[in-house]
Amino acid sequence: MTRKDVRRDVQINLDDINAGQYSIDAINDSIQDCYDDIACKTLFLVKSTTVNLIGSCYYDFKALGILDYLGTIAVLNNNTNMFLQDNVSLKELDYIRWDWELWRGQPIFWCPHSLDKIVIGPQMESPIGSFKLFYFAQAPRLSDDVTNIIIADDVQTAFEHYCTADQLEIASEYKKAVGFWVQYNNSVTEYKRRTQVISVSDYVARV
Amino acid sequence: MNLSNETKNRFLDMGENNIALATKLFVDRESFPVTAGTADIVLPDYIVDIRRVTLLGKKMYPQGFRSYQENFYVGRGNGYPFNYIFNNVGVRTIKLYPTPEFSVPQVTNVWDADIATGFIIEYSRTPGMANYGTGNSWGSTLWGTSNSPNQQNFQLPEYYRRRLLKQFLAFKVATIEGNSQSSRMSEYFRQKWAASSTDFYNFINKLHNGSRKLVIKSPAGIRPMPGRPVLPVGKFGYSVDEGF
Repeated sequence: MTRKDVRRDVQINLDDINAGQYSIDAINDSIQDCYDDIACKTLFLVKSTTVNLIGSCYYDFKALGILDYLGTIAVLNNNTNMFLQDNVSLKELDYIRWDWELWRGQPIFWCPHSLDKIVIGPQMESPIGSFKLFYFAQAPRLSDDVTNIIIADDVQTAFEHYCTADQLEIASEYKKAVGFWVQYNNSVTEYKRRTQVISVSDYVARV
Repeated sequence: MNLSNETKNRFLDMGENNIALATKLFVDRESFPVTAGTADIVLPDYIVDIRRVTLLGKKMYPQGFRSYQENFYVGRGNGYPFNYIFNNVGVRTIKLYPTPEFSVPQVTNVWDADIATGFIIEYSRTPGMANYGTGNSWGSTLWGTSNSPNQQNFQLPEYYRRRLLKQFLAFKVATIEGNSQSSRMSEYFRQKWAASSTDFYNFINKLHNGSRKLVIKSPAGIRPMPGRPVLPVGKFGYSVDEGF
């Protein structure tokens, strides 16, 4: 399924196949929004990459070149071949040491810090080696009509429902949009259950 | 619907500010110089809340203003400051306690090399609201990027911004006087904005606030439980409390 396929279905739903009342740009924006929404709600895009250790306990992965980074799943320390412990928070790091940012040694813990950063501690005195980062990825940017949209086949109709509803709202036909939103939310809820409940223990096995 | 870009940008600023205040997701750090004998430091207005303060790499602990007034009304001497009192009403200030008896210069590498040598405040901040209400809001186009690189760092992420703020914009546009006014549409989009915001809060909490607990599911068990002091029997004798 490509962006063009979705757009055609949406135009049929809106009886707009040759009318041009709904702009192509607006429908394309809706398709991208839908892609982003499904990726954020279901976290279905899982990736991994290798990152070199740096001289800080704060890792900003976008600054380190992982542009589609959405959130961390797990971190495997390649120096020790062990997963970092992921059951601590920033507050609990404070309980371990009040100066944990100055703590030096082989990394043991990781925890989320903010939208862009995670903490990996302790920090190595001289950063040597790397770790494997398992992460949730953002939906890819759709810049053409031929790239395939990555999603399970049985959830493809979610795009059509989202975009039709979105276009109806733009045309102030918000009551007509409600039916499409219901169908969209049902699809995404089911897909979310599949990705986050049934296969949660396979996150690091899928990549 | 004839709505100026200025009005649209004002609503977008407003929506983004609401999200920022509710989630405190825009996090940044700054270093400030500490002067010996001076307890108060004036902070920028965009600081909403303080997350962490370190002096020479060691965490400082927050203290309430009332606690400071009632418990430390005498003997406010100089020394190594362990506590801070944040005043976020009116002009933002932070008061160090005890008053520092030494000076610390401002540092630049607040995320790594200079942590051990500086006084660093990590805080939640507002988005780029510097031009709010002046007709020169920073969202230069409806879904455009910020004009200022600094402000650009404090926008909602691209993968969420458009579809989230669109609800708020539609809600506000339908409330203002004029051709676009519609109370039913306003109510519809108000509810959609509330639902979308909740989705976003859940997303932030799940992914960026709590520990993942995928590899180790049990809590870390690290809690501030000070042990009971055990006094040497040979020096202090046996207790005469109940049970002896």
